Amino acid sequence: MAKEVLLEIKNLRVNFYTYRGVVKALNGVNLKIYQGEFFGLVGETGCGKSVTASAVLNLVQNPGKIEEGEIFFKEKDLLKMSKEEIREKIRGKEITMIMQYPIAALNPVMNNGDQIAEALIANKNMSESEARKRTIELLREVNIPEPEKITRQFPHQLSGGMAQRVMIAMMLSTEPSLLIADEPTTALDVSIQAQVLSLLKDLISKHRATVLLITHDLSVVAETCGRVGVMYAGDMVEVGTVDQIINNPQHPYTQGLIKAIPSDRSKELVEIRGSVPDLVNPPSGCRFHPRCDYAKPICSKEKPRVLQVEKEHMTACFLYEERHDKRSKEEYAGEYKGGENG
Amino acid sequence: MLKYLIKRLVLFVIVIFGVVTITFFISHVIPADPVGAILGENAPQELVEKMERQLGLDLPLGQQYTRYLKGLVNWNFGISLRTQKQVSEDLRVYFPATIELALLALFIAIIFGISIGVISAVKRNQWPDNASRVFSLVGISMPAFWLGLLFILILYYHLGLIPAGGRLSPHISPPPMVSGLYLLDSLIAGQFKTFWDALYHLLGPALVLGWIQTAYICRVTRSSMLEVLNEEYIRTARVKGLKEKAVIFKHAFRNASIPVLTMMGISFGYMLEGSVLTETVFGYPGLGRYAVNSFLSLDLNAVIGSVTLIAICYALSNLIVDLLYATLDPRIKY
Amino acid sequence: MVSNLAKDNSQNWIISWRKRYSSEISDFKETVFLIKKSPLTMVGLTVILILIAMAIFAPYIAPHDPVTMHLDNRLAPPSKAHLLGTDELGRDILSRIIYGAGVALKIVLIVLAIDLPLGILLGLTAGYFGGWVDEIIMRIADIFMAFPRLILAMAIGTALGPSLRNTMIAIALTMWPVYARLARGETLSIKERTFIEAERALGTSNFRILVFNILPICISTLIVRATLDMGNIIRIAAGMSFLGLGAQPPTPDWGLMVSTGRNFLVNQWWVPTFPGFAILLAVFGFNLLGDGIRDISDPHLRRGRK
Repeated sequence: MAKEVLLEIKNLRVNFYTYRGVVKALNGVNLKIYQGEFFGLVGETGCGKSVTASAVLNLVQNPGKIEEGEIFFKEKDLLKMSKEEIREKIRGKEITMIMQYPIAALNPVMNNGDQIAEALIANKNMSESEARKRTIELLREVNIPEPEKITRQFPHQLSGGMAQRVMIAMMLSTEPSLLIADEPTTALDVSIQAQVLSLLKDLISKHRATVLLITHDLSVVAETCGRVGVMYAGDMVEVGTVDQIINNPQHPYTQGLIKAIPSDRSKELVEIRGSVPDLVNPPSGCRFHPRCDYAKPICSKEKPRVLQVEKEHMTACFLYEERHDKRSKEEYAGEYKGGENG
Repeated sequence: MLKYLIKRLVLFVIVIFGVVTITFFISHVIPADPVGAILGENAPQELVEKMERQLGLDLPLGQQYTRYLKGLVNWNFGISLRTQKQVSEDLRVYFPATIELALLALFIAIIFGISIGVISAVKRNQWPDNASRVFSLVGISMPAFWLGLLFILILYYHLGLIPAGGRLSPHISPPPMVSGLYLLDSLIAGQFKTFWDALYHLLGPALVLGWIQTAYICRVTRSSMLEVLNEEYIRTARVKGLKEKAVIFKHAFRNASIPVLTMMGISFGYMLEGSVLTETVFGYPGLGRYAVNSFLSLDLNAVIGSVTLIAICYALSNLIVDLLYATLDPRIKY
Repeated sequence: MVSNLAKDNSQNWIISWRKRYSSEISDFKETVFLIKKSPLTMVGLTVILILIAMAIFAPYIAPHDPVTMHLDNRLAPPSKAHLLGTDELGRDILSRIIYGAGVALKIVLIVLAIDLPLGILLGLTAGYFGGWVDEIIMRIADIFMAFPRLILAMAIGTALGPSLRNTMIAIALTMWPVYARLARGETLSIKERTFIEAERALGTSNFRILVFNILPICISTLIVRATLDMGNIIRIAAGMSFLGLGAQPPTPDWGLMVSTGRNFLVNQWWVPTFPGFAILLAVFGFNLLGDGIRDISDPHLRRGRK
């Protein structure tokens, strides 16, 4: 049964024009998300995961600029839409987003109920009283006790976990097709994390939505996601199912990430040597090559193209390319960059 | 909240007390020879002594202080050497004039300051923003007395658009006293000619004060809006797909307005200060001009009276601002 | 041999100094970049540099002597000999304005020289030791702040007697509470931070904590605030002089010039207008610079956002 592609990002490049120079934050990112799945986007802080999310909603903030690329949502290129169209049709209705610091993401001078109702009124054309009723129902759905009381309270009176539930209620209220969750549990206690994640999983299956979960924590991904994309310094280096990524990682960076998770087996803490590159002057070719134990001369000269490892498992690495048939089928229509090593 | 209110009121009383004491200290203790300064160096001894007795300067300091405090509680500052009237009487005449001026200037400042400030923040770094930033920067850099002089030069001498001074033209009598604010009172009494005349006289000083206050309010509005526009919840509002107008007014401005309101209160205080120079230049008979004249003629009683009144107003406006802040921001709990 | 060693050592020293302060150096570089990027701030900086140049080189730049009277040439309109005209005593207005820059800058420097140390001392003490020391200092500060600045300055100025020196003292007395409050605020917020606890755990004395940890942070905040206030100081001082409480004749003080020139506003408009314009420019320049520095110190704008 062929799954429908809900979101497809092709060759997304985003630059930030800052005091230090041009930060080449996204270097041609490719991503495909299928309808109904829970897709995890993993990477270190600063690798561009949040920028990718912002780009989808056309909320890349100054001094950032989307330089090129295509973002197909339900077959329409979002980047070609006018700002007004995106605001009217996409934001709030089709795609919504929950964020890392939920209390900061709520308006401090509006009470909680009003903020949720506002989303309903603006996007679903409900009347005020309908919206209020629905708000209470939604709060119950996210397991908030005493929803009536909470609607009258203000965000600063909520705990982190409760605030995130309010956000979830708000962002799922309009039944969007895609929910982007940008590090939703990073700022929460571990015990609350688990609660919020399981709540998210339940609601997603109930509302039949698709989720793009952004996090730096592989364990969160392992628990909740079906497919995972690994990003490094503005590039998507590997994509696959959770099983494939964890048990058969192909890209040295992914391998490093997995090895770095402390486990019973190894008593040492294994780290990836080196540090995240400066994106004003990123490394040439494959951006990971300075930290890679397997780097070859070509890695510093050209950007590796995306190749398929197995079904649903892609990676962009010359190590892989060299080991296997270089002319293997490419499933991604990511732009064919790279030299004539074929 | 109640606890905060009480705490704040107590603070207010302490501050007033301190203000009053310092005023006393400054006017009685520091000046080397106030009588000599008034009467001149070669005044005959009996005159000097008479004056000293009149001013109560022959009594020991402690007694002077208690006498002063007693008078204060009864709102009695004694007689002004300059006008030969009760200082409290003078204050009653001149105080409403300044309040009226300040209110009019504040009104101008709010309307223009907030609108320009919001536009400036929303169109950051584009030409409306840059223009308004220069304008408001010039506004707060402007010496009020100089701007006043320029206004007089151009609008009075060359264009004849504003009058020579005073609150009303000589042939017009003041409206029946209700609030002391001529604009209000004349409207209440239905005396429209008086209303326009009073407005005509207020124009010069109100525009000068207003220009400067607009600059302050514009700046605060702009910086407050900019800060708020960077917050996460503005992002949330956009993600929700709200119209940009709703984002700016319902979400951004509502949060940004809190410091702006605070600024308005502070601005009112600045105006008490600015009125000193503006009234002097325009010859507007208000508290500011009265204070200056008292200082320059070393009219001790009048000095104490006017400074005390000004300080009380200032402290009161600060108190109101603090209380307002506490009520408007739900995050503040006391 | 020995000289090579010395050279090596000094080079090493420079390299290690560079390394140790690398973050401060990059901060500084960033500040300079941001200043250069903001044209308005550059304008402000230029204005102030011109003012300083006028103050220092006045005797060499000014075409005429600022004090000598030439009663035969009173109230002359702007001309080639006197670019801005002459005042009611025949003195060249341009020269007086140039010398006036020095007067204005002197006022700013002295007021800040009093207020910054005083404010820091009182604020640090209040913030660090808390308790009734804090209460008393803050109540006194509140009381001083309960007066509108100009009024208090006028009161003190009148009491002490009209003179430039007394004006400076008066203005300083009206402004110290702001700095004390700021210093106290910084102290309070830093005091509770973990790294101070760490210092205490290491057994550092209170004095060392204050001087080496808290003081540097206070100083930078206060300096930012001071640059914002410099314009105000000039403006208030000008107001005092205008009212007759500040500089006395024949000092070439801008406020005083406007005041004495006021009588000639109608027919010899240049007499009060140009000095007033000088005040405006100076205050404007300081405010531009102050604004620029404040914007730059704003952590939001530094280092871009993700």
